[in-house]
Order: sequence, then structure tokens, then C-alpha cells
Amino acid sequence: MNATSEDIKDMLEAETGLDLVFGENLFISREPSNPNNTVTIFDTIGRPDQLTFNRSERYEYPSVQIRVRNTRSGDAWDIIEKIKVALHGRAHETWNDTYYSVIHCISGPALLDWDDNDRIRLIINFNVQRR
Amino acid sequence: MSLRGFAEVKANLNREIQKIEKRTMYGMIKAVDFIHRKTETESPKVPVDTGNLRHSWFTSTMKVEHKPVIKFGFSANYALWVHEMVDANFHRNGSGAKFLEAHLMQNHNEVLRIIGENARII
Repeated sequence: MNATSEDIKDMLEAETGLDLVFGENLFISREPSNPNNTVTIFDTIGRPDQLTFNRSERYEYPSVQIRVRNTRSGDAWDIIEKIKVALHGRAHETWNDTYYSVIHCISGPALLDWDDNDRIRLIINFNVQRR
Repeated sequence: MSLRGFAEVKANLNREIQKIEKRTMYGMIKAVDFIHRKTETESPKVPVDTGNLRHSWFTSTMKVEHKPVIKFGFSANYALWVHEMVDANFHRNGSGAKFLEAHLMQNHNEVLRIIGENARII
């Protein structure tokens, strides 16, 4: 099973309206200082996995944070809204052999800060259920 | 710190707590104290630089329609930023972002158990 961020990355790359390309303007776990306009996905702590008598049965509740950085505030809001539309409520899909029951936006979009280079950073958090 | 940052976690927990009809303020204070202890003893712990954030923890109790209600969190104005800064390197060992949300999510059942255990019988 991939890290959740890996599969979310594939979902976002497949969204044509977002124009995100992994390694160019879409990143995982580490937000590079360049280019200016980026989308970065972070795996964050979710709820505990389901535990049943069948140890081979897996059902996970991970979370991800997606951070959008942009030199223009309006563009950043536009991108993060598109990401929310693309992911929130997404259900019953299989990505890289992992079944995603549902993806649920739990907070955001919200302003994180303006970084040292005067680029706006917005965040949005998602809870995921998968097996 | 406002709970706006994890509205859904709060909403889920609130919904469950409201189902405990005979909940007491004592039980709710104990549950909040349990979460506070988690932020100090288990990863991700609350990050510490000057200690201001750590000491901005607050608990405030009130009654709404004769039912006990409790508010809690970190009141430092930068608490939300630290909480959401998932790629930061914090000084304190074991500390990290999501230092409140993580414990609320992971101890959802335990919080309900504490409140239930301390509910009035009659």
C-alpha cells in the first residue's frame, strides 16, 4: 500500500483543470524553495486503524494536508478551491491497488502565512478512509 | 488556538458527547485534562521554544441550557500556525504539528469513556 500522499498525488495529477505535474509544481512531504507556485502534499496523523480479529484485514483512516504556495493570493485561492472540489467527497475509487472509500475535507482552505519571500501559503486538510 | 482548524474532529466529538445525557462537568474536565496530558507526554507533543504556547493552554467551563460545556485549547495567537506547520523542525523532542488534533482523533473513544464513566447515574 502506498503512502496516502502518493495516491493523492496521482489523483491531483489526473485532474486536467489543475495542471499539476509531479516534480515540477506538485511535491510530496517537502516544499522546495523553487518554483514559487507549488502544491505540496503532507501525510499527517489520522485516526487509529481499524482492529479486528482478522489481522490481514486492513482499514485505515489517514489524513493529509495539502499546502498551496503562490505569489498571487487570488491564484492560490483558485487552486486550493479546485483541489477541494476535486477531492472532497470522492468515494469508491481504486488508486494503485488501494481502495479509497471516501475522502473528506475536514478543514480549510485557510491561510497559513506569507512566507519570507512574500508568497501566500494556504492549507487544506483531508481525512481519508482506505483499505 | 481556535478549533476552527479541525472543525470536523470537534463536530464529531461534540455530537457523541451530546448523546451522553447525564454528563457532568467533572467528567468533562477529566477528559480535557486527559487530552492536555497527552499533548505533554506523547508525540506529537506541543512544541516549546519560549514556553508561551505551552503555557497558553486554557480550559473554560460554562453551562448552556443547564448542560455542562467546556472550551479548551491554546490561546497563543500563533498556535494555529504552529499546529498546521507540518514540515517544521521543532526543538523539543517528540514535539510536532497537529499536537492537539492528533490526540483528539486518536483518543476519541477514551474521551467518551471518561465522560461516560463520570456521568450521573440518576
